[in-house]
Amino acid sequence: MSELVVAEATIKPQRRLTRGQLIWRRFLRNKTAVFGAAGIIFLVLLALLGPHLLYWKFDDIDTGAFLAPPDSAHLLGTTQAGRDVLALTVRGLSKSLLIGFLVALMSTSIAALVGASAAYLGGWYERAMLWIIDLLLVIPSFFLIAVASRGAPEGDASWLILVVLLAAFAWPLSARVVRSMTLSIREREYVLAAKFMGLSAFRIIVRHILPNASSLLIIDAALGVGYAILSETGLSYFGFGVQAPDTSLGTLIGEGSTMATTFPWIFLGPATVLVFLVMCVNAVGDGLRDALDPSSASGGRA
Amino acid sequence: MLRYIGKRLLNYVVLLYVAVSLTYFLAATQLNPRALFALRQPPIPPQIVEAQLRQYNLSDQVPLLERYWIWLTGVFHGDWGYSPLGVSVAEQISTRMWVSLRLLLIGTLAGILIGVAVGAWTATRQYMPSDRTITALSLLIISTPAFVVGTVTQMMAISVNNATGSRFFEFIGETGDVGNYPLADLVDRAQHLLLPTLVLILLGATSMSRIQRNLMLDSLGADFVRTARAKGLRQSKAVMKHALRTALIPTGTYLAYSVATMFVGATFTERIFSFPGIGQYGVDTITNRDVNGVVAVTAFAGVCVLVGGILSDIMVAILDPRVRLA
Amino acid sequence: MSIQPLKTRRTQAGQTVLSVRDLHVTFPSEAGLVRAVRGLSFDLAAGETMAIVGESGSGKSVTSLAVMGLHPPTTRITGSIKLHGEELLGQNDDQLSNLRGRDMAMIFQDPLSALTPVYTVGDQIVEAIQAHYDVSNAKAWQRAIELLDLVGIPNPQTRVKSFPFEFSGGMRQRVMIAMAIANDPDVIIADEPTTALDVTIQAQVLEVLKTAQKETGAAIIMITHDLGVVASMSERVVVMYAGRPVETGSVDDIFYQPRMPYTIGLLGTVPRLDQSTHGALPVLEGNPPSVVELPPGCPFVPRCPKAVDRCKASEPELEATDSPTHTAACHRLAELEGQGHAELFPPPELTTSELAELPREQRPVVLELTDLKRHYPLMKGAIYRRRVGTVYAVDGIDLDLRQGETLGLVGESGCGKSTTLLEILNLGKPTAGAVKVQGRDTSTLTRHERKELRRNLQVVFQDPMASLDPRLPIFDIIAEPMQVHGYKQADIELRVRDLLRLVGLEPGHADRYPQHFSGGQRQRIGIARALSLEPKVMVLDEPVSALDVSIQAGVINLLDDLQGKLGLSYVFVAHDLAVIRHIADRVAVMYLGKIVEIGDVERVYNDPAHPYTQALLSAIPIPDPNTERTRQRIVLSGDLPSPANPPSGCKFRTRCFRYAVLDEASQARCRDEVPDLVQRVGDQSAACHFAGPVRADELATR
Repeated sequence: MSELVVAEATIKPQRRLTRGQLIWRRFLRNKTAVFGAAGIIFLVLLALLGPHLLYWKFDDIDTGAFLAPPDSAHLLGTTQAGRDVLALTVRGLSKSLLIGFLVALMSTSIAALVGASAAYLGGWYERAMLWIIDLLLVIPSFFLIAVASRGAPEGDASWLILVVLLAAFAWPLSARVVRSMTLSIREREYVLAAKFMGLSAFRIIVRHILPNASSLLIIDAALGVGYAILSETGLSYFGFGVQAPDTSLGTLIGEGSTMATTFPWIFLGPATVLVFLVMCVNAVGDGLRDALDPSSASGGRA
Repeated sequence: MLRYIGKRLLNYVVLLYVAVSLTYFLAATQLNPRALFALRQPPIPPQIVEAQLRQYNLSDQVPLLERYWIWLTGVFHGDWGYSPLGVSVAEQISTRMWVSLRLLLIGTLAGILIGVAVGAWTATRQYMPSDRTITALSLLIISTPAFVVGTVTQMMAISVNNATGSRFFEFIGETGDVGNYPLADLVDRAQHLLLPTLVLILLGATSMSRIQRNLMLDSLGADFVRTARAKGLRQSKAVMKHALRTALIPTGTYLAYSVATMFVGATFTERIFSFPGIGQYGVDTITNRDVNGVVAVTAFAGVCVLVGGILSDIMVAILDPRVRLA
Repeated sequence: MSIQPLKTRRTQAGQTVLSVRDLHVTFPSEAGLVRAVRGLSFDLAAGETMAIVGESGSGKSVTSLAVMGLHPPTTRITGSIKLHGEELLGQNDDQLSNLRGRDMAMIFQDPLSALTPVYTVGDQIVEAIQAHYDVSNAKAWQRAIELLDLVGIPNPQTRVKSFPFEFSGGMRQRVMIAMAIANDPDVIIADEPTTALDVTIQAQVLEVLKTAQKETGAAIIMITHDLGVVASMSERVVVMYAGRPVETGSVDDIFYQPRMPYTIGLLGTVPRLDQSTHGALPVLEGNPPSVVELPPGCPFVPRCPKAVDRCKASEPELEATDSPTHTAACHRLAELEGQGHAELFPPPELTTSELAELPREQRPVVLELTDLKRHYPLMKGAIYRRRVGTVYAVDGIDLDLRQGETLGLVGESGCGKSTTLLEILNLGKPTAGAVKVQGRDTSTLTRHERKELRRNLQVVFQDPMASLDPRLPIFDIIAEPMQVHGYKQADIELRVRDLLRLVGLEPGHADRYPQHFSGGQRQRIGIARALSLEPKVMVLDEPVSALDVSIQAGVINLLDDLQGKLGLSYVFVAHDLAVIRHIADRVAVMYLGKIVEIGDVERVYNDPAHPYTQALLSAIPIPDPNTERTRQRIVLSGDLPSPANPPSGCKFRTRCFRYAVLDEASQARCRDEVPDLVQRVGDQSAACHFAGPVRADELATR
């Protein structure tokens, strides 16, 4: 026995890159993704610091300048009501950012729990969950959220209701993906081993299944941010999302697009910021997907 | 086999029934049609408002379940109700449906076909300059909401019109001033369709090309493509005959699904180019607190989704012998 | 079965058809530049079979892709590859495409993914023919049918129109062979062609390959890690290690006079099907090196008992040994003449327990299965899933396991051995019959009792990559079962260190993650985890089959040693019958959910009584060329029947060679009457109405 022990023990585990290092390296090599990450950091800083640095507040009304084109006083011009477009854009950006990240976090969490538990527990619970998912997917969520938000109480917290509504309809597709991933993880030998050692189902899901689905969850959350921002701005564009006096990029674009041909600055400022934001988020999402899961190019939303 | 298809259809019908009923409860409690009459000048007497609401089964003074029952029996007789102002919902849907179809058919199909071609082509050129350019471009377009793409297209069209002093690009409605020459009507419609169709192709082709590129990349790395090469097939033939054919299976299902759901897919495009289609109607019903209209539009959308699901099942069976024969 | 050749040969028998000189293959990877092949040279004569042997990462598969020109575009290849004297390197893809499939063809390892799922096999064979020859459709289809007939596909006329998914794995590999020989190639490269297949199917496919070679006269390059396959198929051998050829020669040279220590060790560490070798196996310590950052010198140095300073300084070239055709790459070649593996790699000492002295009957029964059955619903349809029948996965088996003994459970895929294991491990209620662990019937357990009983019954899985959660450091992995079962944290700390030491790993490595360990080391971690609850019974599900050949011996020795030290009882499931012969005391052979033969391992191996056991043992190639040349192989016909629709009476009769020569009355008995396990002499029982040794007339008819 002694020889057996010594021989293998003296061989050091092979020196190779850890998974984290590999992912980091792959991500850094993706220039688009790095650009996107830098862009997001810039936008977050803008949203945080902008209101303190800018002269105009978003709800100030400059009675001397209605529909003024960009000049030194109003860098991006003013609206019909004499509000500064730059200040409004920064305000809208922070709302859109906040909503995007919150919705993605919530919907991915729901998807993870529902998807993993459905697949692992199986039986009637799984069938019930799948049925609910189908139900949520049958009807265009856009209309339902719009309807629900019309009846929602108005006030400062109304955007939080919007977050909940968006998250409530965003998780089903991801939950399906998590479920099918869990179905394969469930058959892996380390999960079987855990089961045969006497671990409870909950512990197996939390400790062995979800961490091993984390790549998928991270990718899903990252791409979900872009999806959530687009949903929110789309609703706001029609006036169903963020309500006045608060504003979002969608509200601004909706307001601006009706006059886009004559007063383009109201539209162009927020539209550029929105496109840039979503592009950065999607670039990071794509980059994370390539870095975390190089084998399957087709996972996640396109 | 028929029994299982029947069972599945039944499940769909139940699913749709539950979803539409839930939508009814949501709309009936949230939309408050009474508010429509509140701000009228001169004020309308409450009794008259109440009478009109009751006439269209919209009064919140009638218990919700009673309203639901009236609505449901109506639906079973083909009556989808009226808006608070008395417009027939069924009539609206049946005329607007064709508007949507005229607007969307070309754009949707062309978008998918172009997207498949571009996606498959870029996949074979992975990491080459052409692939990188198209991938970057598609990232830009996919990140641009439809309402921005539409508006920007309009702005560009106007500047072209202004620069050339013509009115070649039309962007409001289905028809406009019809000239006095042979086939003028057709030319006019085509002019109005041009811009929205371009927008739809751009958006559809972009998302499809990203999906197809990924599918194709998976299938290009498959063992059977290597086998085809080992038989002596040229790279291009192995790709076209083996990789692309296999990668088209999921695309086929997507195509079937998109065709069925296209009626409700272009809310933004319809709005921007003022096409009175179903998507535009959906938004209007919500703005106008039209409970019956909202429910009818969602039901219509639900039917489209389910028909799309069935069509894509059939499409898979056509394209994939493993599904057809297993 | 003969079919018309499409062309006349360009090379006469005996002449060199393929010549490779100083081949180097390099490609980039995340970790750095992979130098997959470093200086490979060989000549392949027309009509001969040459084997390239090596473990994973030795560069053998990369070589095959480089010869075919099918390597990824980032790969850099230097040296020379000449087919019919014509240089292939530097030719453009069009020129190579003309050669591929016509002059050289390839058979891939995994027949499940190598055929395009959406075309019929006929389409794919016809495509291969028409890619090179202007043949009419009718003629090409006719040839496809003839080819399918040649490779032994029943009813080729109708099967030619079938899709790949309608064939079993073995049948698909036959289709691959048909496709490869469609244009009478001069060279066929077979890359692990039978690795994914069961042994009886492997025997069939190897026969088909031999037939195909006889028909076409092609030279074959056989790429494999299986020394038995090498001994049975090839005339010449190239042994590769870390991208280098380390020994070349005739198959007899390599097997009977190996000179390079790696070859010597490799041959010595493999348990033999035809020899009774209890006790420890010689061990080739360590792991094959990574070919990304190779240090200078001989790559085998860290594992070589003969290494000296010179070996670390420079890498040895291949030199001629006693004969000019037998070359080996070792600085100490002269001193190694006549050295066997016993001298170079002495087997370690193993602990034997006092239990071994005690006769079997006097030891307590730790696990008992009585008439165990597990049936599953059979679902069908990709979209409209529905139940269409029942799978009789395990259909009534009885066995018992006594303390301190090892029971081997063998059989091909689909025989029910994995289901049996899961039934035991689930500690639940089987479809019928009973599982008793230490006398407790598992169907009556409460949740709490079940959890307690789990401590006595632990499992080691096949795949060391998949059986450890990659997200946890190995301390947590080994500690987890103890945490769940309420061990004190301080005890756990100590015990994890002890366990690591026990399985031969450094306790200081407890904070590393599974991916930092090699396959063999991970399997040791899995064993440590299984031991953490101090079980009485260990269920071992193919514990060494995913490991490289040279790593297996160490793990087998460890299991043997632990059994002696801790008095463990093993249920050892394996498809490798040689491993079972080495480690097991008793063996049970399963077929379609039933045990067909069970008993003392020496009795069953030396004198198998059931025709299936006989066929199974006969199907396995033995790493001994002389034995292989004289052996008469029983090749079973057909595939395993579906466990959802098993034959009546004796389930084996549809493939049985004995049934085929019985008279009508006896055949009726096999059809109608299910044979029971009947005890023969001593500890051996077989379930066959006509149990007994193989007779000459049974083989003659085949």
